[in-house]
Amino acid sequence: MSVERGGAGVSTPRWRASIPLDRLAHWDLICVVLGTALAGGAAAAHAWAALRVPLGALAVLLLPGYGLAAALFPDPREFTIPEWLALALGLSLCITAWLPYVLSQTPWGFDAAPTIIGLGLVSWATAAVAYLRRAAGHGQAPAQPRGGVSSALRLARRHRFVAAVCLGGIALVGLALTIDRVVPPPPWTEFYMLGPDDLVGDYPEHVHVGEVATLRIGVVSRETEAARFHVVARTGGAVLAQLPEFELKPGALWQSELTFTPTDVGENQRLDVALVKDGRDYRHLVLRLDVAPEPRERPAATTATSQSAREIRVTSSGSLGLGRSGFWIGSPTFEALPAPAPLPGLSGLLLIVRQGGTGAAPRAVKALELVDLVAGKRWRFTTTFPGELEVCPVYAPTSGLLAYITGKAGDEHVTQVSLASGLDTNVEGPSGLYRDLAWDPAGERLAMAYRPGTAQPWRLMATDRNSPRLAPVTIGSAPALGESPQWTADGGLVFEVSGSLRMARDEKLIWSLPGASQPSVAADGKKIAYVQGQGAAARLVLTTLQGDSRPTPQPDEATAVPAPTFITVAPDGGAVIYQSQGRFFAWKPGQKPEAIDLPLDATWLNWSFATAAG
Amino acid sequence: MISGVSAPRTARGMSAAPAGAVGSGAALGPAVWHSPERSGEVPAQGNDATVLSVLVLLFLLIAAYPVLRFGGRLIEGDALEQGAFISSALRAHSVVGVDDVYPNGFAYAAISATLIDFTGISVRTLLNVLYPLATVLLIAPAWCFFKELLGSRRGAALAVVLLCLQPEFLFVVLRGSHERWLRGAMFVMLWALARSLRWGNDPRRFGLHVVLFYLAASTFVAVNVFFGLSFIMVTSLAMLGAVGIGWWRGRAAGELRLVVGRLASVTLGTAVFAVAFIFFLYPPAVHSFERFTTLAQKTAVMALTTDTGSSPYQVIFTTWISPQVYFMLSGPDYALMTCSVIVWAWYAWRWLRRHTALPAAPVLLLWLLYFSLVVQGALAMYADRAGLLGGNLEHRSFPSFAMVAVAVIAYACVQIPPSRWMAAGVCLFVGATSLSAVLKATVEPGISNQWVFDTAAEEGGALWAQQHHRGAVIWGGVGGRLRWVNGSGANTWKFSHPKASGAASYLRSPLIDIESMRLDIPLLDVHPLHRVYDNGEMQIYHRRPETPYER
Repeated sequence: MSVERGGAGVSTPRWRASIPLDRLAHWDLICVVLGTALAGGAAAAHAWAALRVPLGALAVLLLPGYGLAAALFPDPREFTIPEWLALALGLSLCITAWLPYVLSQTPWGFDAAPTIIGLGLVSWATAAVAYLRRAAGHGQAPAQPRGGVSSALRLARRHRFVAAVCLGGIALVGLALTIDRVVPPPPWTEFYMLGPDDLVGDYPEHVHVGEVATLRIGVVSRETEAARFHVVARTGGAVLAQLPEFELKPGALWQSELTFTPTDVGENQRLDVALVKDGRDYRHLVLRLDVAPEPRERPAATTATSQSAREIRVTSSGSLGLGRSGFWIGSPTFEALPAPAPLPGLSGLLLIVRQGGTGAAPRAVKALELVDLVAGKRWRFTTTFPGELEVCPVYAPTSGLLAYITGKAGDEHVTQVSLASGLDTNVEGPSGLYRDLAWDPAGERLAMAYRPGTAQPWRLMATDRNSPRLAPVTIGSAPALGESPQWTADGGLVFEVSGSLRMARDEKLIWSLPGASQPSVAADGKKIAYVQGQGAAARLVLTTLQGDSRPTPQPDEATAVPAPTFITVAPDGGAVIYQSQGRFFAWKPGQKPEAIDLPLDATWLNWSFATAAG
Repeated sequence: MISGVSAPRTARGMSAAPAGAVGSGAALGPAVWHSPERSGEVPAQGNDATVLSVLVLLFLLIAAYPVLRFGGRLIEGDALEQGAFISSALRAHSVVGVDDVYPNGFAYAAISATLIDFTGISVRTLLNVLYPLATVLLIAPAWCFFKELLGSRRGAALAVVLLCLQPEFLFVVLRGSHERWLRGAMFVMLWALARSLRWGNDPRRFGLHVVLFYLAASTFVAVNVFFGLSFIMVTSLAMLGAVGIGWWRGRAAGELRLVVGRLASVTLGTAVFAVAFIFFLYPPAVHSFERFTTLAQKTAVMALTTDTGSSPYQVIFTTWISPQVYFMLSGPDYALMTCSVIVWAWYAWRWLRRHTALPAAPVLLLWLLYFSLVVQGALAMYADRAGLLGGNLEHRSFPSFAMVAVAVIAYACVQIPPSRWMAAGVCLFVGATSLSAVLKATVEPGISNQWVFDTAAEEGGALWAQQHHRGAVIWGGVGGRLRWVNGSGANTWKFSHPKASGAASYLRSPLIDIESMRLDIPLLDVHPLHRVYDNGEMQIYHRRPETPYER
């Protein structure tokens, strides 16, 4: 092969000399353009991960930043290789962080296609700017004009160690990404049994001799190749039932019903259900059975567990019960309270108490409870499944609506019940955490604090009884952040945010009171109690709401209370109940706070007034 | 003189870079004038790349360890939380205005979701496999930052090696949290800040480095605005320290004035951007801002009541198999703190007593950053006692301290002439320390009680349990390894004592059994229970109803 001498005295094959070397001199920018295009193409074609992952990582973490760095600093000699690498990473992170932010504000959104195209355009545009700036004499290309491909190869030869590290790194990444294929985990084919509604539970565990019982059996193959299985049910070593053999491909699901008929009487019998593969028991389930000698009716209470109707009625013992989906308890009075009411001067109050379980039961059942302080009676109001919440009950005497939070922790919802009709309504709203429910004086609107997760700030939501759908409370166009909302008589919301009280109405912020917290507005919306200051220096303030529901500049009454909590103004605004240092107090203006004994045991969570004072 | 590359500003008493130095020489020249080994080092791009390659190799080995050790199945709280935010961004096609957003910043979710769009891998593979390996990219900005400060390739290499041996730093950059890119942006910011000090007489280059700083700062704040606010505090303290030095010495030297000016401008600029970010660009970040009011309240409680606050170090007695193991693995941390304080104090004393002239601006910046990070560390200890931010501010602030402390130690080390014995000693130290650092950073299950991994079979079993229960309490082991499944369905997961959990169903696997034995928590007798699920490794047992009302 004929060769010509390169400028550096190195032989260059003629075919290499024919490549437009002056263009290749911008090999770094060409790499940016080609690398981005290849990564985008690989993503669009859903290419093999070994190709797509390294290209994608380069296109996201290095190439856009390198393009921008080259546009800012067109002279390649401005930095060393490690410095270019650092710049490429730092600026790529910047571009990749903010491009999705910008895309999120556009009609296209932060979807895969706009992101890939957008990042590609940014990389190409910056590379083009870098090329133009270099062409305008702001800098020179990184490689020598003569040499092209061969100079790149020479560079690689000169830095064999660097090249080896790069290749080793790529190999390591590839190994790590395909580790599941190199060392496959043992197959974990799933074998399970379910109840009649495809859930765990409601198994036929109370059966009779001769009675046909059914189990729903399932298999999900996690084998690496197709395999044949069959299912056998045994008791005491004897085969009670079996299912015909079947074949499953990897990832395939198989479900069937297994029917069996117990033959021996006895409690807590063991029914072994085995998944057999290659002639041996491969997976193994156990059902515990109580087999009775004769058929008999199922317990009535079991039937009640499937009752879904909700109702309120007076039970035979004269107490109030609320039906709940799942099961229903119309509980009689189970605990007497001393009469007259323990709240001095506030007789006739009815409290709604969130009561925890006793702790002795294996599953603590939790419920809302009603306490009539005059009659000295107390009722279980609702009953729920273990693990469910029913908290923050608030009652609106004017509309007869009771609202409370229900659901699982972190997946809570708001329910409102009409005590007149017994109908309950789930308020439509996002799943998350709720608290601080508050009815307006007319009992028409309900406000609350909401956040999607524990890491998010509380924000205010509200709903109307006629269209029970939660909507964010806004100030201007921004959602109102805050908690502890309370309605005022003129339809405003007082709430706490960042250590101050604020009042908003008609999407406008009306007033703000720094250093105040824990607002409680009386049911008629004319008085407000709040805490001024913090910790041991806190003062409990009770004052009148004037025009714009603005608190009077000089509080009507104030008293020093160390670290007060659970501030609640009596419905007529004539007293404030609060907790401090573990005890409850009732404070009437002009008098000293007086310790009271609320009928709340150690497991109470929160409470509220339910009726006006008598 | 090369076109477009002007000579750097000449520091007092030091020689400028040779005018004929080209390429990297021109780039490295200014840093050389304050180098402790400036006489012996010939800057060469190839050597830089070679040294960097060795460091990359070292870090790749370290980063590959958790990936290979746990088969890409490392799970820990922050990764799970960030994974949820990334998934939320992918589902909502937005990084703002979605329900489940990270209130401190959107950038990590944005970068991660973009990577997933390009690579097609799952969130878990990204966090557990690709990210730990991609963290090796941090070596480049770290190297540049240290080299800019120390002006020495040997010093920069030593600083990077020391940083790679810090378990607290490795812990935050190797796991799934946002800190890997946060640290990357921080290195670039600090490098741009230090590098801008050399271009005081070249407005064009100076301006470009200022732009570079703010581009990196915008990323830093967008990843985590709380760290952004902390950075503002650090630069403020450093600026105050510089002003104090000027006052002490009576006359502020040119270097000092330059540093004060830069620190003042970056403090102001970053603060303005942070405020804009919190109140206009990313409203959920207001939540972070409000934490400072919580700090005030908790401070009042600590000061005015008998509340003793919390101690983040109480957990070491349960997290590790013994306190001795913890203290042994934390050796590099304690060595770093002790040595860096001694070196810092020794040089600071000499400079303040006017025995020697003030160092060049980058070294001065290093000493000031160290001072402010120590103050921040002390405040973090106090905040932890107050229980702010989950009581882990010490853990959060230590990596920042380590990033600067290693440079302080490296500064002193490069004063010592190199020898074969020293090289051998360094190699021995690196070998021994890297092992303990990796063991601690990855919470090695052989010596830790807090396991952070699961298996595919366990994941499959947990997902099945989640899908086939409605409103049930499910027990998933005592260590909380499977807690990622909690919150993704209508069930409540318990990871406490099995007998006290009141659960309807119990998960069992060999790992759950071993973990219970390690924590000395007796397992529930599953003999009377239904065994409703079996995948060869994990079994699920269901308690028989005790009343007609249970399901």
